[in-house]
Amino acid sequence: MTVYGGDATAAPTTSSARRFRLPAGLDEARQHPESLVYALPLAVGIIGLFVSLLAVVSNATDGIMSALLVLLGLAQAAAVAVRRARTGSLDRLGVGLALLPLVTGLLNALMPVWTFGYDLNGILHRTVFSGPALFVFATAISALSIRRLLVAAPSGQDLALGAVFMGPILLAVMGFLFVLVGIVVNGASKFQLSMLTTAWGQIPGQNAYNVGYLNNILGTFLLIGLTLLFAILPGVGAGVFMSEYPGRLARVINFCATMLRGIAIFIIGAAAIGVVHLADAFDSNSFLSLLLRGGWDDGTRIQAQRGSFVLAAFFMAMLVMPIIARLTEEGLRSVPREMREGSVGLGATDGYSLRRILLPWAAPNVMTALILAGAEAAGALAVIWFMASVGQHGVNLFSSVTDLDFAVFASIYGPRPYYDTMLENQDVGALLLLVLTISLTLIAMLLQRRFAKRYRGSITA
Amino acid sequence: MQNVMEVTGLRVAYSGREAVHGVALPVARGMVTAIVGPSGCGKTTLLRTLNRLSELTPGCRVSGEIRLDGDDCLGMDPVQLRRRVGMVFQRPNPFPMSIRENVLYGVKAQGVTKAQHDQILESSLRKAVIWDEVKDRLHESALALSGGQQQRICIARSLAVSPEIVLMDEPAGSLDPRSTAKLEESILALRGDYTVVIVTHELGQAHRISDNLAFMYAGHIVEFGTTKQLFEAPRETATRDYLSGGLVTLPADDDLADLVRGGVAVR
Repeated sequence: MTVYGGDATAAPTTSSARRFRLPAGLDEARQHPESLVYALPLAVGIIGLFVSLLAVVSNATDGIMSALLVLLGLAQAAAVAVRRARTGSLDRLGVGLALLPLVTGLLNALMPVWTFGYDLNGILHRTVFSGPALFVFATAISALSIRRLLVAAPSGQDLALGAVFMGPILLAVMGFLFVLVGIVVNGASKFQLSMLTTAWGQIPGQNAYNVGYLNNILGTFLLIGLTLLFAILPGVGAGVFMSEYPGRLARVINFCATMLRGIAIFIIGAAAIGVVHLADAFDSNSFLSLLLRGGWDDGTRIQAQRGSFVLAAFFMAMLVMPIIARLTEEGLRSVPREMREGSVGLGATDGYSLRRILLPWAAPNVMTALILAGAEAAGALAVIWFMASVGQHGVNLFSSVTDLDFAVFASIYGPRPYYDTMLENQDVGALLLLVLTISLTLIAMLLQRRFAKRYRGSITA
Repeated sequence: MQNVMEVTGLRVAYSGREAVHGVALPVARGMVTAIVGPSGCGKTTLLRTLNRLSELTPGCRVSGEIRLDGDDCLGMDPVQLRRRVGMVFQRPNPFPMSIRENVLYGVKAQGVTKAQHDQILESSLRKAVIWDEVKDRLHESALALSGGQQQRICIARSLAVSPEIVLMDEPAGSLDPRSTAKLEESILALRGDYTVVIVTHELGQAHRISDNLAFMYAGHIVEFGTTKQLFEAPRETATRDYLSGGLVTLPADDDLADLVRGGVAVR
């Protein structure tokens, strides 16, 4: 049945005689007509993949879930059966993949729609189980079907692999969109321009509150700025040390950087609150108290808070320092050897090479590191969790730390008047934070290109 | 003094593996000394040891003696040595800066006063025979130049700090024939004012531009003499074989063969 080889002189004429050419794989598939039956499970598999992705967002897919699982199994079984009848060989993997969705589909039909009790503190819809199952089976069956369909073409294997990769990527994109769309849609519908220029707080003399994010936005910027101020020198310094002065001390610094990244962020927050309490014995008017606890003037005396911007930024700097150190180190290590030797060969000292060649070369990395560190500082709620306030008493170095992060948290779980007035706006805060961090990341990408062109003479980063 | 540099009993090892087995090399002032030999014979290692760039490679150990105008090179501050012995590399390695900044890099690193910069810039570029090609674009990036031009910028850059010796490691290794001819022109123009030690793969190039020639094989300098003498009347059969473009054969009873076998295995 296969028509490989044949007359060497005839081969070119047959291929050029066709009016249009099929992709290489399908072309080969023609020579194996029995494999075409795998188009059926492939088609059902692709539908199943999309339905399972919809199940991520909505359990409305439940109505067709069992049917689809069974259909998937049947399609696969049919393909296996036809192949067996035509070629006499049994596709064992295919049989397994036919049985799994069949059984799952039947079980799903028998399962109660809602799961109550057990150890689950709540209720689960059955699509929580059938959705992922359909996703896995549909991906596997699609991949296998592509493989069997293009059996004669070696590149069919790569296409089948592509299906295996595409499934999870689609799932990730779907999950991302699910979160993003929710925040953007809900946030944008509540958003008012005045929220950018108004700080939350009681309107004097009234039992009503201004609704806004001004102080949280200012606080976010202040926190980012202070954090980078504290982190840049030690971060870049550690990076230079790890790359340029290898030895025992460099290994110790390397270890510390790794550990600092490895510990739970929450621990940093807990350590910070320990430091805040050092000031408890001091008068709220004293410098130490202002520095650590922060405070605000209520007109008669200074009211101590639970953590100032300076202190929060100091601990935030610990969190972001390893990012800066690592990326600086990476940038310095990417300096071409010829460039280093060229500099040293001209009688430049190590310091001069560092200043004129190495650090400029690493500048795109350092730039990226700083902006990523800024985004991290804006998003690491755990560090300031115990210290932060909603920021109604203003923003300065010694005021109680606040940012958008905490505003979102406080609008759901926060103190009473804030919660009451801001709950409905929670997505606005999240949207603002999202816009801020995404813009920072975009700026990082653009600057990296610019800096690479400027300092490395190329557009490659 | 006739010789600006004297190398004696120089041994270089990387992580315990010796690559240069006790060589002696006199470098005559104002002349071009070429080192030739098959790949892996240690000629680049020898060259990189002359200004102690080989020390940048971790695990490198150097013993023996190198004297520059009587000063002990292996004992002096390496930065100081590299200011006196410059280097041009196999692949052009201009810095991602303007042509002007490239040429003045070493000058600025050594803290030469600003007033001299323009004069040094022009004279270095003229000596490297590239002034006419770049004089109108001194503020453009050196990376925009062709490979051959970049390499001559690198020569100008090393000349700018007025070194006593310029080392060149296969400077035409990545250039086309036309650029190579230009490069050789600029090397010949240096003769007299500068001392050049050049490693090259191309025998024709060694013949054209060098005054003295060292043939290196398996970590040894097998023969050293004037270029004319080595090409026309070599003492060693190995030199004759190599310079005539043939395979190097080592007779079983040859002294050299024993020497080489003592260092590395030869098939």
